[in-house]
Amino acid sequence: MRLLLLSLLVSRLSFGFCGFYVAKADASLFNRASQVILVRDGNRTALTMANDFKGELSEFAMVVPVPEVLTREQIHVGDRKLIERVDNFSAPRLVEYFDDDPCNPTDRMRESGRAMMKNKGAGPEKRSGGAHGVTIEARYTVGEYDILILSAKESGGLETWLLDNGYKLPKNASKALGPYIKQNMKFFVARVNLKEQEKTGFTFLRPIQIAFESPKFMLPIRLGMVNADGPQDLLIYTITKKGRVETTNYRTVKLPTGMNVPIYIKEKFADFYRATFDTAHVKENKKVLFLEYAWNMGWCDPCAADPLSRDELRKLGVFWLADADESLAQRRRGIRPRPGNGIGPVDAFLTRLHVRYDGEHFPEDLMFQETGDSENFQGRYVLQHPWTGKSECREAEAYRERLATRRKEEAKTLASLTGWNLADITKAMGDAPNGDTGKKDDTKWYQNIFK
Amino acid sequence: MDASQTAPALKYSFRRDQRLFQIAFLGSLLAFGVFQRDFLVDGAFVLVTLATVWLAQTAAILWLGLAWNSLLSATISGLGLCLLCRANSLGWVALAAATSIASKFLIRWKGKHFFNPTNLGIIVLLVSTSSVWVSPAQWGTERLLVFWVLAMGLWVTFVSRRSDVSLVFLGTYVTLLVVRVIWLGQPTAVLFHQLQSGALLVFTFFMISDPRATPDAPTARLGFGVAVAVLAYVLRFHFYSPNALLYALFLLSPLTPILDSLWSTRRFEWGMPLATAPA
Repeated sequence: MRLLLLSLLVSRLSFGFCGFYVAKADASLFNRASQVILVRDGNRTALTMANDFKGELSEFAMVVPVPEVLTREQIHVGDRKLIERVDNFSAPRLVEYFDDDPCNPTDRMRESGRAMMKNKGAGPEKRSGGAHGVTIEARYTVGEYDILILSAKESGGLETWLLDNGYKLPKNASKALGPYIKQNMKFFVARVNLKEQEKTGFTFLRPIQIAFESPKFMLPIRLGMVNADGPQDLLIYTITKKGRVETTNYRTVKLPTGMNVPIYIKEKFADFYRATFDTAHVKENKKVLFLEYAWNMGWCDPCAADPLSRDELRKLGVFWLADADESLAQRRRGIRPRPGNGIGPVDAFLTRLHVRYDGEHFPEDLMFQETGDSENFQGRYVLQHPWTGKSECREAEAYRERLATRRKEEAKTLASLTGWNLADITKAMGDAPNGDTGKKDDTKWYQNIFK
Repeated sequence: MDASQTAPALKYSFRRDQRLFQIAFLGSLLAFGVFQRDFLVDGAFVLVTLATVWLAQTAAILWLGLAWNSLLSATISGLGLCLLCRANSLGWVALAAATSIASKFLIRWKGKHFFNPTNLGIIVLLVSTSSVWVSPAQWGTERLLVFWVLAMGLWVTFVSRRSDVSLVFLGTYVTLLVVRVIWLGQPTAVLFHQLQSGALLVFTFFMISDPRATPDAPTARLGFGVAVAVLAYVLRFHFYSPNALLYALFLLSPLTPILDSLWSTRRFEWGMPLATAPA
């Protein structure tokens, strides 16, 4: 049995897809981003596929290779808020610190963290569709979805079957489907049942969750590339018992983190992060996955959002947290939480991986393994607010000198992270507080002309 | 390694010792990894590993009266661990290193160890704790190609007497990958992607080729290479083990003494002239 996963979104009119939703450029940080939550221990896997599809619901359809014929009990329709919770909790964050009065140093450091990444988005229009060696192994209606589990003997047959049943497929769909059929995988096909959808009262589609056992810890991204007209972003959240998850057939690289950046980034964090990711992606030759977060799910420091409750974790499929309420009660009685906020360590380790993939740079599906590495990691950028008081003393002078150097360093860091022009950055940073106009620039006139 | 155990007919020559080339190669690969790649290996990791293997080997040298040049073998084992093994604390690293060296003296058959020490050290810890793992993909791809070429060149030039097992293993394994890609109808990019693995490189040229842990007779050695390739393929694609290569060698290593008893030939010794070294 093999693992399964991700996707192919098909439609009657177009086959625009690849993940689970296609986001509008103006509404989301990353275009064409999909999100999946992969909960795994041993061979047991619970997969939540986020679907932010906002086109005509009647036109939505999705095909996912799965390792076995799933029973009704293995399929569930989840709560979309859970995905948002995990996203917000693990998103790269900005933290702020405030310098002390150099003449009167006190422990005035304040810190605030906030996550600025949101993966909201709307999809462009999609249309959905509907025996050539194809067998309908099972048929269910779960929540607002009509679900078919198909098995096929050969890819040409499956392609024909899908076409006959109203799905419009791109030319090379058959080629992409072939390897999954040869490996005896089944196909999970979901489309919206409008009557049932109306009953839910929601205007959006809820995430589909499936649970299965398979020795293969992977995500089939290749299917999603079939009709891709450019790279796609995928956020993979894994929840495992012990440690960080990494890919075994591509490099997993830590996102550049921990740098001090100019204060004005507070208002432009989305732009900043997008540019930082773009730059890192290109620098690594577009061939790696980025680690954006790795932390026990029980706490965080600083928190971009409250940690998920044990109940929320269980709803995401963290099956080993069965006695959530009782354990939580025990923790509240006796165990002090770790620094920061949270319910204290739980046996759930969250890894957030961000990959921008295309057919050329990612010829194979993503294969994963859980490692024993439980070291904390987060994408975190620091705003260090200068002291703005008027005190005068020898330390204040020295402080102002250091501040000028620091501002230059921050500008350089930002330029190197984002690829933005240094002169533009310096301009955007404006004047330093307290008389430092920022014009005390020791850059030689000739240093800028030959750049 | 315990080169002194079987008295060589010819005099040992340090300058002719192929292990020097291996150390140079593994050392540069490690430097590449530490400086260029996110290897999760730092100076402390390397230091603890090498210190442990040297300490363990020195103890064995003093205890068993082995030749001091066996420290070269211990260095190779240590570098192999640095390249392949990852752990969440230095204690595990030291344990893996000590296990590797100890295995050479504790698990023997007719005066010869038959597990590759690095291989055994990693496998023992992989199965006994979740704190140790192998990261096969942290090498990147492009520049690794250079190392492939270099490894091949060095190997063929300097250690050709025992390169047969590496080449037979690699040939069989690649053939199986090719057949699979064709059968699945996948693009050839998949094949190249699968071959651009630093773990495969280290395994092929520095682990399965260990002359002490492979059969002495050429025929037996070829069969051994094929068997490891087939088992590794099965473990990887039917049991989905990310460490298929390491497990395959570990599981088949006990065949070495059996094959040696079927085909008797002269025992390999390090540092012999190639022209007269046993085939």
